[in-house]
Amino acid sequence: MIVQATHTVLFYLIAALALVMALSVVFSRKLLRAAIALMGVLALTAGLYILLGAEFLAGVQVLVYVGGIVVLIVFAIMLTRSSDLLEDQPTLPRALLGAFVGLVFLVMSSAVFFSSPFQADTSGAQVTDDTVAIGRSLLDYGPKGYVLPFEIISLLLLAAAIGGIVIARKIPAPSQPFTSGGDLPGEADFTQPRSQREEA
Amino acid sequence: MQNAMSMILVAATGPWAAKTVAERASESLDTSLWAVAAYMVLALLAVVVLVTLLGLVLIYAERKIAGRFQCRVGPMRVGPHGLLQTVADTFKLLLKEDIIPTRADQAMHLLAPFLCMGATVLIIAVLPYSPTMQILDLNIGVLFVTAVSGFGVMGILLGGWSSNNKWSLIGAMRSGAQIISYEISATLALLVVVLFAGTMSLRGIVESQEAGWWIWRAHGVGLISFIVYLIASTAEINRTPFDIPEGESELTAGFHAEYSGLRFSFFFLSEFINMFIVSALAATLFLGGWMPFHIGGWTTFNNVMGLIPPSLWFAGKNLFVIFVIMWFRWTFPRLRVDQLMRLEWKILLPIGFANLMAASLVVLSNFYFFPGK
Amino acid sequence: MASVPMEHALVLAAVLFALGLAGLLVRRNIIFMLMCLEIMFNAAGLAFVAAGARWAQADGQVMFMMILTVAAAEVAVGLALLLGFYHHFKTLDADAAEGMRG
Repeated sequence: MIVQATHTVLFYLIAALALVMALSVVFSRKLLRAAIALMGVLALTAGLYILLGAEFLAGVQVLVYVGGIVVLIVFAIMLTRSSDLLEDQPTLPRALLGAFVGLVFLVMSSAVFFSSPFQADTSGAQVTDDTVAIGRSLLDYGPKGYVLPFEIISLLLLAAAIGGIVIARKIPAPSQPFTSGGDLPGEADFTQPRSQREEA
Repeated sequence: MQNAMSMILVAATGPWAAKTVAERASESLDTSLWAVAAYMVLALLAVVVLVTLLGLVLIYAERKIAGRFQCRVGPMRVGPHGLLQTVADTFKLLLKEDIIPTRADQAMHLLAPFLCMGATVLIIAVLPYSPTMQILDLNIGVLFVTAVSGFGVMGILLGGWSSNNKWSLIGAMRSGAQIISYEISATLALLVVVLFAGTMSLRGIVESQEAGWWIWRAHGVGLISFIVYLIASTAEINRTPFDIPEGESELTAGFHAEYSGLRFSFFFLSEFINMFIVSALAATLFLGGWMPFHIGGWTTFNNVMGLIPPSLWFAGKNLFVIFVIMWFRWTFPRLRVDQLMRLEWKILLPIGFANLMAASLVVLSNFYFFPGK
Repeated sequence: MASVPMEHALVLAAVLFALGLAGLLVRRNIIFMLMCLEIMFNAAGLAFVAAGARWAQADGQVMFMMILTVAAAEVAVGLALLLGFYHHFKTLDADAAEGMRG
């Protein structure tokens, strides 16, 4: 069947491309190139989601990752003018440590994947329209529903947004406090309301 | 081969039921692969022709309309009424030297215009032009359109960065900040219609407006979100009055200052096609797309309206919205950065959220003109 | 999805995750570390979606939405911290912040 053959070929092609892109994120010396490669990894993963039958997630992936996260990262690169700052070459012990930890993780998880029988309860309703199914289970308060995690995660997002604003706000330098208490000559006491303040 | 030809004939003269090119192709998948290939070539050709035509027509229209608004006649020299002016300009652009600044990041500089152009072409492929003229209908149509436009933002940011020019960089950053801010309001406005129609498929949304267009069927909620969408998406495509990213007097030309020749024309063309996409989306979601002007229950009236072909309805609505956007450009002065941000975060965004809640109330109580679809 | 065994998708996710992990441990530039984190998030999401597609249940996709939200929150806070860090230390090298009293 030609459709299945195309699916298989596309899957391995996209997987290989995504791996190459991920490698270039990890090994690149240029920040912006790495960000573009990251965009490639994320977009290719969206392609994999389409092949896996999760169209909605593919759309969300591109919307949030490419349109949001990668754009923010590129903004950070531009704001810090850091593309010229080259970091030191990683020392040999650190590189070895990273490679070792990565390899151990890879071997262990692959061993689990290929040895586990992966039996699961498939008695539930088969998903036909994934968008509807996601919406239903996100707001379902039954035993298989996710309404509590959904609420918690929305609170987390709100907290993160507020936290981001608070952290990124310009903090007045400690040497020049915003209010001096008005004890220097010719300076207004900003702790007092305007009506009680003597403008100097 | 004969099979393919007959397939194309059927596609041209077939029944008037909604069917996309992709659906036709997948139907003939089992019988003839040649037919599938023919459909793919046809779709590709259609997109290329559409992009070229849109470029020619929209640029000419913009110059003529600008002329009228400023009490002049616009281009008149090349061809009758200056009709061939855009063709001449295109040739001039193609003959120009293709410059890459010396210390620019060459690969990124080359990639940026293609990202912009690729995003617009991908969106053009999913728009419903008429029941039979749509290349691909996705379940996630609206989401797809908003998602893919993210590649356009990356193209702009990359173009500005890789030019190694501070004006380009500032223009790109302003543009990026503006687009990701106004994207929120535009998406909220689109979400209102998704809520009404109960689907994200663009064809499904058009078909859901058979009893009446969403702009007036929901007691003003649709109208508010149409206006919010129009403002937010005008800002998203960086057109005046929201054109501070390219403000000529401050930044020479913004992110594409260092581009020339073919790759400049890619940026330029994708801006105009983005305008087409914005108005096509507004027409599809709020003004009924190819659906004729129907009033629920008035069968005779609806039949008379149905005499006008759907593609003409779509084109008419689309041209109307395009004209409104051009009208904006030659009427309003440019906003300052702080006014721009205040408009989004303090005005459009609260309105968008309140409107979304009102829309969900409308949907819950089935409180439409002509309910019960 | 019958054409590709689920294990292959899972192995792809594991390789991506391992790459991100190694990068996170080796790189010292904070932006690079954030990008490696994104690769790891992405790999975890891929594993969930692949498993969800195998059994045609929505749970995998719901978990993906959670991961996506966490990733977005992480980037929002992470980039704000990064700007503060750059403002303070004038560098993006994470080792610059090794002292206890900034």
